[in-house]
Amino acid sequence: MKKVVWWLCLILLSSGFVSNNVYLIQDGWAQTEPVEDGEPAEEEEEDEDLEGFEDEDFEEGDDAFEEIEVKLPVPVSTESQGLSYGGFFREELAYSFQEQDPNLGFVRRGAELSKVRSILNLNLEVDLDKDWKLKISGNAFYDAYYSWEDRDLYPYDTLNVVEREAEFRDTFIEGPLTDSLWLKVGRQIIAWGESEGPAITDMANPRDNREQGVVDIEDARIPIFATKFSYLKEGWEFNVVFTHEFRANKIGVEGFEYDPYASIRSIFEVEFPKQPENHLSNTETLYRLFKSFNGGDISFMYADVFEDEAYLDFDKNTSRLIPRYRRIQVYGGSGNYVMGSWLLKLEFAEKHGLGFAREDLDKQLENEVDRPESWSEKNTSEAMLGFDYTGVTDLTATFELGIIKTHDYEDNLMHLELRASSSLILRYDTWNDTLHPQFFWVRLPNDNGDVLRVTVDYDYVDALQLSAGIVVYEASKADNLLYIFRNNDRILASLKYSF
Amino acid sequence: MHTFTLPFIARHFLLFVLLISFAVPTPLLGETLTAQQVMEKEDDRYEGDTSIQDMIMILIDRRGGQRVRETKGFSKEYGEDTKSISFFLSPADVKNTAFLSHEWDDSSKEDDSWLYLPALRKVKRIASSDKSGSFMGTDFTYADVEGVDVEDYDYKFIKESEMVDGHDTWVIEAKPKKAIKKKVIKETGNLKSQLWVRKDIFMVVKGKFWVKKGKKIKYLTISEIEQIDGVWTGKKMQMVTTKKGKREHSTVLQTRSIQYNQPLDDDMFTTQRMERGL
Repeated sequence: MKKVVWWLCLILLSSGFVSNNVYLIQDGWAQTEPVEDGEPAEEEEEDEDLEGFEDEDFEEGDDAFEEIEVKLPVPVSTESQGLSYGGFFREELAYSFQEQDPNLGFVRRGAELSKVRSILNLNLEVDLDKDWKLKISGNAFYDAYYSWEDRDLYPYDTLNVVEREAEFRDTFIEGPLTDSLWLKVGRQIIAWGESEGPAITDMANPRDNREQGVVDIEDARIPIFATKFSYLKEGWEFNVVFTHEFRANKIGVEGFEYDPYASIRSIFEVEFPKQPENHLSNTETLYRLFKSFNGGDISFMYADVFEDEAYLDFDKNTSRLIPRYRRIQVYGGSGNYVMGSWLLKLEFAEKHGLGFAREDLDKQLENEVDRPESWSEKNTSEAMLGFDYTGVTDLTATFELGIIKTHDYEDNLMHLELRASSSLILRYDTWNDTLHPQFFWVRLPNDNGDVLRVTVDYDYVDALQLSAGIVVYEASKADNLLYIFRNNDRILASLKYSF
Repeated sequence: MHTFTLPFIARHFLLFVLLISFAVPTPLLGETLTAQQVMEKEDDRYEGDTSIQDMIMILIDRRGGQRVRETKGFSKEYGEDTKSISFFLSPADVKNTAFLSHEWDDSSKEDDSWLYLPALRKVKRIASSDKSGSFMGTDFTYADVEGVDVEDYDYKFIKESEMVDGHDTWVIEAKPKKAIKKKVIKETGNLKSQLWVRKDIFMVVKGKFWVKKGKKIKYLTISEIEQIDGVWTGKKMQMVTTKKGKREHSTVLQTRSIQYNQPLDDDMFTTQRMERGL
């Protein structure tokens, strides 16, 4: 079955690109063929190039040079008068077509419709004066799936995470303090670095990982309340950020089929995460220096922040695991360089103070160790090397290779000392930017499983986008990180109306 | 470096159209000016040091369905180099998208391009060697928007004289130079083009482009030409894409307002400005 799905994905992918890519690939070959003696004369080649244009003359009565009469809309700038509002409504459906493993504690068991989520986004922008701007944005969703399917089997906390949510998104005020100094205060997203996958220097915002592999990076970043200063001088930009709230990565929860602790819960009880409190002493600080050059960009950063992903701390008194968040220090940099149709990308960082899970907790408990430890503090070196390739018309191919090395490695850690991951994203925009097939594949570090997603977005009109796709999880070994999600394959469909 | 009257998209599109100069003098014309000289004159025409332009982009599909984008663009000359930035004001799904380009006269330097996508809240540098793709869904390509090198083409006259909207024009054919033909066609997407250049103001008013991909032909028309602040300006520009004689898609770029030589801060043409928006 799994093989069939993989092939189906490949067929879907190829059908989305076939009409243009085959043609373009042929172009590419033609350009690399050596010129040999006896080849047709240039004029003949030229004629060959222009073959097929015979029917070029426009049909009688329809002159393509004729001026098109259009009725111009009322300009936004006149209409808004310093105030604009908008948003979108999106309906997301998912059909899970694999039966679930009954040993994992997921509520869903059979193949069924598994998501009927209605999302409303509203935003308001106000020009306070010539320079200062206020933005208020919020999201709310309700998933009707939980109102009819085994609702009583889900813990209340789980429903709070996956059934309903309402939150402020980008809500800030911004403007210049001086000619060179810019201030932005409020909930905001601060996206740094080059990677579209792992967060290496992109340390400001946590991510929404509730549905692994389903959410695009543009939707995954979670805004945080922060004060950001930007100082611009002679082409250099210097950013200083102070955060005023802690928000963790959003992850799957108990009973939900993306619960990352599902396999652990059969051994230990896992408490709800203990998050750092939002007081002054927990302020995070981030710094970045950025510069654009002809042909490339470069940046360096330092951050003293909480890790957004929890480590599991064993509480001997209750014999429970408590997700906690460690304070870490990160320094690194990123850059890119253009070479023709290639954009080469590099990102690297040193991270100090991370918490990593140990695999010998059960042995410690068997041996009745005084202070059993479920984790160890370690430092890592992380890097991403990748590229965007835009040499095929309307197609962008992005490949990234990620590497993480753990320093002072010990054999009792759950992960390997050196971990490598890779991802490939193909984005195609055709039909005058109304049809957008996308292929997404990621291999988790050290062959811990693959996620493959193929989607097609179609802009029926500007305001209405229809989408369909499929996401497949591949993990064949029981010790693969993705093994517990191996039956979460889904067919996706959505409708988005922007206003 | 040539100049033209429509800043932002139209202006930089016409970097392509108008940079074309005549490599071979044509005795048939019997004029004192060679084609090369005509284009040099066009190239020397003053077009202002800066420009600020409000533009409507209307995308029309084969059934007549329209999609409308409103943009505001800024452009500034730095000697022979040009920096330009444009912001999308509407519709909602592309609002606040920004495109920044630094075009260098020195052919050894790659032009710099960045795109700010508000959904990503991030400025992304674009590797822009292949410029044959559609610019934001219009019938104009990135090559049309950013321009290509004039030295890459051979030119010849097709007609000595043809009247367009009551004005006499030269009709010129442009083909990529043989030595770099495949490279140029790959980068621009066009096999050849044909241009109508007004004799009185040395301005392109019509164009026809043979597009390799899909064997399509595109038709350019520039109208509502008037002198603004002493600069000849085409306020309406349309491109019609056809295949086998059938209209596939069209784009109309209509200038709502345009100002020349207004002071523009250098900070306007930075990636930071893209994030901040208008």
